[in-house]
Amino acid sequence: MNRELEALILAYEKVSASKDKEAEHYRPAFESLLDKVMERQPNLSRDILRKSVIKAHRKWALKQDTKPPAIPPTA
Amino acid sequence: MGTVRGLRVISENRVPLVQTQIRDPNKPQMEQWFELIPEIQAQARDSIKRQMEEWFSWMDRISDVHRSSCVFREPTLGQLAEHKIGLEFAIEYGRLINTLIDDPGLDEPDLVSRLQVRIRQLQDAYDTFHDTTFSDAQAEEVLKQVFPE
Repeated sequence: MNRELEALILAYEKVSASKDKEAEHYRPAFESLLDKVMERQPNLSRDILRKSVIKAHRKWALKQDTKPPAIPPTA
Repeated sequence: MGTVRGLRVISENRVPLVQTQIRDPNKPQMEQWFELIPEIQAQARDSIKRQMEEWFSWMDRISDVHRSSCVFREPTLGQLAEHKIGLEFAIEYGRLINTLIDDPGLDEPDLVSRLQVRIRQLQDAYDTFHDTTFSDAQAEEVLKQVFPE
């Protein structure tokens, strides 16, 4: 896998796995990696790039051996 | 149970419940009622904060289900349909609540920020599976062009 894409996927995993202020803390790192890509892809829509990376994250997640527990959340 | 600024506290959540009986016989009744306004406002603010915490907890549970059942595992068609309904509801209500609390009069930027983080997470979750304007194949094409192996 392309290293830059892998870094984006891992940065998004932190955003996705975290809650509340922790998620707020991780999001700028992910957004800043997106910004870096956008600098060399000025004709690309940032939203499209973002959605593409999040779809790539999902593919990555399916391949992981360690998964979040498949138990229903407590009410 | 106790008193706060002369008001009986009858709940355990430190919110003074306004009593209908005015206690100081030397003050005009209307004046005493107006003195209660700050307490009533504090009570309303506490109530909003408690409600928000419940919303946050509920939105976080939706996110947990999304990750464990749809991101890290392959959902069934039925689960995906439930996923769509749950997320649409959560995002729509999240935005409605945002309109209510993102008000200078309420002055709770921390609550607004915490809510917006969740709305963004839920929107990402929704788009991953239900955004009909952008397919997996289109995403693949973009990724190939932007991130060559």
